[in-house]
Amino acid sequence: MQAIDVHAHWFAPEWVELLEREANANGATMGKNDKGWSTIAIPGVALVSSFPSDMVDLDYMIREMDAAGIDVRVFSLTNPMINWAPPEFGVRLARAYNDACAKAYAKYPQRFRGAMTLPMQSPELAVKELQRAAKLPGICGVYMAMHINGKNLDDKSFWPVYAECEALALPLYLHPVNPCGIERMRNYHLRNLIGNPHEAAIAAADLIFGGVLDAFPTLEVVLPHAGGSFPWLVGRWDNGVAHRKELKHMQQPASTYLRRFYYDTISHQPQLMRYLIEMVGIDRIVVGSDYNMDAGYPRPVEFVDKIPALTQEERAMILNGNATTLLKHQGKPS
Amino acid sequence: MQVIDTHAHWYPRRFIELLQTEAAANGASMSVNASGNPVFALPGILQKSIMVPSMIEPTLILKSMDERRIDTYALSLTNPMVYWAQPEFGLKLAQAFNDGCAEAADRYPQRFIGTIMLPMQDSALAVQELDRAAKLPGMRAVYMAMGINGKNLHDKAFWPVYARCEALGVPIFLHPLYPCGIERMGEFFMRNVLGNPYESGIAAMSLIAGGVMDAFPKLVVMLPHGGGTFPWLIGRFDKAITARKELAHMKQPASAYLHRFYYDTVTHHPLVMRNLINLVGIDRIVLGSDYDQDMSYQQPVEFVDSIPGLSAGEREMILSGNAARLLKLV
Repeated sequence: MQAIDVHAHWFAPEWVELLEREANANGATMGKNDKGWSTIAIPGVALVSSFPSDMVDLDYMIREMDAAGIDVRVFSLTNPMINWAPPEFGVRLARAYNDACAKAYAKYPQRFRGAMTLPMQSPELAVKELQRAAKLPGICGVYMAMHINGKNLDDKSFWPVYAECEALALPLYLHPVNPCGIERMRNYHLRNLIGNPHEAAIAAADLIFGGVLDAFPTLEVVLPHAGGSFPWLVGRWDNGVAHRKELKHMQQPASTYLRRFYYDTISHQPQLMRYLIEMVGIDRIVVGSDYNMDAGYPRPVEFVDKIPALTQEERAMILNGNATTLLKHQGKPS
Repeated sequence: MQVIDTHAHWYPRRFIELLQTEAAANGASMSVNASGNPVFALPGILQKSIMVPSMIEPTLILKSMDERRIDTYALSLTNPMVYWAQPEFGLKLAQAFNDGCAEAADRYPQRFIGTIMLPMQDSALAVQELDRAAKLPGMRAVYMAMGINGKNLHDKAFWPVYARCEALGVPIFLHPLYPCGIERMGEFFMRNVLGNPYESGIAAMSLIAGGVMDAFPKLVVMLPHGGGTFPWLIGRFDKAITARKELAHMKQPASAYLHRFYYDTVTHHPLVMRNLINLVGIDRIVLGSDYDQDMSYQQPVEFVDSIPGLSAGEREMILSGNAARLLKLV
């Protein structure tokens, strides 16, 4: 049985090099940290991202999968993503990343899958890149931030992108970038610990209450960090749907949408995974590692094995079966 | 068995009257809506406070308690609270609220407990009012927002208040007020269904990582809405403590502090309540209803009865025993 990890990050060297050459001319500030890695600072973004070699060097990263007990990894671009860039540069950044994914798949077809990145700052250009990159071998999904420069995901300008994802049967993998409420989270790493999971809840709420999941009934959406705050607040949302005018357009409770999402295993609490399985169903849980962030798992399979009362069948679904369903759209030849 | 609801809001008449006479001179506005109810508004804050009769008249409140099979409410002030005002007016408002509570508790000693609102914008005045109000009839907890004018609760300005609460043996009941991130939560009532529980996570982690819970080891804190996001992110907090320099000062995992808090039942999800009991312990769960907002329980006791696998012993602890201990009624 192949263990499949859907939450792992890669900064493709060609993408980093493009930033090093042209990010300064496009509103960001590139630098180097004391380890000699490139860094990028973007106005209005609290986090200065760096590009460490263990998240750039693909050969190293593939070898590391052996130690982690992972057979197939879906790699994606994380902070800062590319929505901050002027549209034309955003398109070139997206192409650089997505083309690099195709090359990586060609080199490691048994191990590597790529989730494409899109220049969502211009939804028209994003649709074009989506159509192009969907044909690239090894691309198995679309990776997207949980807001696009402050615009929530239910914004109608993004609907053509969702329509295309649904038509292409490509799942949408969401990830937090630049969480809101930062003025209250400047200490204790709260921006990451609380801000990131909160963003998952806002994103889920937007897709549910904003009608996206109804308009695109076969669109698959994958939430990181075990869905963040979303599952645990769903009772409150149901109560809102029952009583509030802002939500009287809803035809169903919010909780009926729990099973429209997939949830990765990054909760750091085995008991909570059991609760999550009870709430959303065993068939919605997929393995994540958050490679190679310190918020992640060096041994993601070992974490799964700590889930209380895990049966063999459940284990197989989490490690392999559920992700196999998600990865149906695999490695289309160009 | 005395059924005690720890999460119920009201606006005493004298508090409303003080706002009606002096809010305008202090930067806020009081008006009347189409239903004839007083409405409080602050510049720059979208959320207005509407003061309906069922949250003003003790006789109406008592009627609701009878309908809901509640014996005792711990009455508290929700938005707008008092931190928006200049310190002296904040103190006046706090005194008006606290006196109103004490009067209700004195008149109906089996039915009402009061919680103490403090002008946290000035900690000297807050400590002064805490000392005064703690001696009034029926006042048994401090009520506080989860952020005070943008400051998180670990800010050293607030430590004198915590020291006094610990010394007096008075618990702190927290409640969200004007949650952060509002620019992303303008639609779908997200500011409430998401923003409010989110504030619990920020508040709890600020108190834990900011050293308040260690500096004041006997301080007791109650989190509403089942603790909001706090319990469910506990694994993430624990992991960060092992991995991040921002948390290198922590001597214990965050999960070691789960039992320092109480959690009310306002989760609207029976299975989530059962999971919460398993995570934090049955002895930490207290009944809440969020009276009388539209996100409250019409039948809070029925909600408790819907918790899967609830034993008679658990039921008694949630409805009565834990709150009685928390509020030192026994």
